[in-house]
Amino acid sequence: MNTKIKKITLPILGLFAFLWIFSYQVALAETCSEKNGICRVYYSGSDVCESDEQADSTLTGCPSGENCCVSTTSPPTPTTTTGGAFDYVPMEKIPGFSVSGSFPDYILTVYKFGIWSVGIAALLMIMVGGFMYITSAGNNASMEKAKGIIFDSVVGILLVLTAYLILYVINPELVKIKLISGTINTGGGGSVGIGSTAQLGTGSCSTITAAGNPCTVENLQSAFGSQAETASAICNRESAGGNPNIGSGSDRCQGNGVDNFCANPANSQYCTGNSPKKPSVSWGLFQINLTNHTVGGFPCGNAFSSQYTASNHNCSITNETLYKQCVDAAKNPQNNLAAAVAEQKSGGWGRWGACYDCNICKK
Amino acid sequence: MEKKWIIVLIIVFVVIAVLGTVFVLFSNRQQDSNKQSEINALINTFPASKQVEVPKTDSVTVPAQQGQQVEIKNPYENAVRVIDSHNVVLTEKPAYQILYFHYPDGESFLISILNPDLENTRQTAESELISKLGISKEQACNLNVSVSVSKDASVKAAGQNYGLSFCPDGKPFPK
Repeated sequence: MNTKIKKITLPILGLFAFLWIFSYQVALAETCSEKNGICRVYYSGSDVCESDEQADSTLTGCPSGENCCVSTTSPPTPTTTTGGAFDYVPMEKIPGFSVSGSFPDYILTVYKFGIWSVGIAALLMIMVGGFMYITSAGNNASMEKAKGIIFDSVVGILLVLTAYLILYVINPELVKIKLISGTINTGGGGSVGIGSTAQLGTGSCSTITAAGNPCTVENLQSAFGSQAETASAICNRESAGGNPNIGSGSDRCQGNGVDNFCANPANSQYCTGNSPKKPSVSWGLFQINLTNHTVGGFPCGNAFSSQYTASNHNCSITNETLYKQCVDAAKNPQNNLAAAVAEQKSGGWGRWGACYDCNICKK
Repeated sequence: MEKKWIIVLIIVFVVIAVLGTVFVLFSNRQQDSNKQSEINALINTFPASKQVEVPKTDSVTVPAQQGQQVEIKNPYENAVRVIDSHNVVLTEKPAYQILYFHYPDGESFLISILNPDLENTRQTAESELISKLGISKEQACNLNVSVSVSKDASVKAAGQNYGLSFCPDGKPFPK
C-alpha cells in the first residue's frame, strides 16, 4: 500500500513544486511598458507620437503597425503588477478549458486539468472496483483485489483534494501563482479586460453635461448611483464624447487571418487604424473588450481564438458572424452599460485605462 | 474491510459527489441569476429604455440654445446607421464620426475625431455636419454640438468638449 501511496503522492508534490518555482520573480527583456512608454497606432501623414514624447524603436512589446512612444517629461512612477503581462502565446489548447495569453493562467489551467483528470480516473476505477466486487461471487482473491482498487482510488482523490485544501487553509496565497514580470506602467497599455492604451496623469477628463447624450451624469445615475460622475468622465474619455459607435484604435486583434478579414470591404466598419487595419476588440461607450465578455446575451469570447490582453494581441476571429453580432450588441448603449456595470462591480474603475488617465484611480 | 463497509463507502461517495455537483451548479446559477437581475433592474431605468418618437418627415425641428428651435434635415433619413431610436450615426469615416442623439432630456450632435491630424479633421467634420443637416454656421452654433477627440488620436486632447471651431464657445485643441 505504501508504494502505491508514494506513486500518487510524488507526482502531486512535483506539480506543487512546479507551481512554487513560478511564484518567484522572472526576469524579462526591456519592453515599451517598462519604460513607461505607450504603443501608438501609426496614421499616415502625421507624427505617431505626441509633442512631449519620443519614439523609441529599440523597445519591444508593441504590436505590428504601432510605435513605442516614451514621454520626455517627468514620467509617472511605474507600479509593479503581479501576474498578467508576460509575452506568452499558448501554442496548444487544453481540452475543456479556454486558455488566455497569461502564462500563470496557463499553468493554473494545466493544474485544473490535472485535478479533473485524477477525479475522472478515480471515479472510473471506483466503478471498475465496484463491478469486480459485485461479480466476485465469493472469490476472496477477486474481492481483495476489488477492495484494493476502490481504496486506492479514494486515497488518490483525497490526496489531490486535500493537497490544495491544506495549502489553502494554511494561506490562500500559497495556491495563487504570482508571476512578477518586471515593471508595468498601469496607465501605459496596462489595460485589464477593458480599456486600452493610456498615459498616466497627462490626460484630461470632464463629465458630460450636454443634455441628450448617453453619458451624462443624469443618464448614468440610475446605473452607477453616487459613482455617476466618475462613470460619465470615463465614458467621455473612452468613447470620444459618448459615442456608442466607436471601436478602439489600439485594442485590435493581430493574429492569423485578420488581414484577410479587414481586406473585405464589407468588414471595413469593424476594422480600425491604418497600415494595415485590424479588427477592433473594444467597442462602445465603455470600450467593452469583447474577447472576455458576454454582451447582449452573446458569448463574445467564443468569436476569438484567445483573449485580447495587454500582453496578448495575437488573437484572431474564429467566428465572424458571432463577432459582428457582438460588435452590434456592444454598440447598443444599454448592452454596453450592462457590461460596464458588471465589470465595475467586480473590478472597480481601475479596469479602465481612462481611470488612470484622469487620476481618478491612484497607483 | 468488511463487505458492508465497502458498500457504505461507495454509497457515501456517490451521494457526496451528486450533492456536491448539484450544489455547485445550483449556487453558480443562483448567483449569476441574482447578479443579472440586479443589473437588469439598474439598466431598465437608463433613459434609452424610454421610447422617443422617430420622425418620418424630410425635415424636423430640434431644440436649440436659449429656447430656440432649428429646422434640420431629418437625421434618421440621412443616417448611415440607426443604432436605436436614440442613437443615430450620420457619418462614419476612419478619421471622424458624426452622431445625433435623441434622448428624452434633449437632442444633441457629437463629432468624434479619430485621426491625430486634429485641426484638419475638425474642419472637414464640421463642414460635413452643416451639409448633412442643411443649416448655416449661425444655426449650427445654436444647436447642442460637442466636438471630442479619441484617446487613440490624442491622449492630451481626449476627454474634453471643444465645441464648433467657428462658434463663440469653440475652444482650440491643446498644443
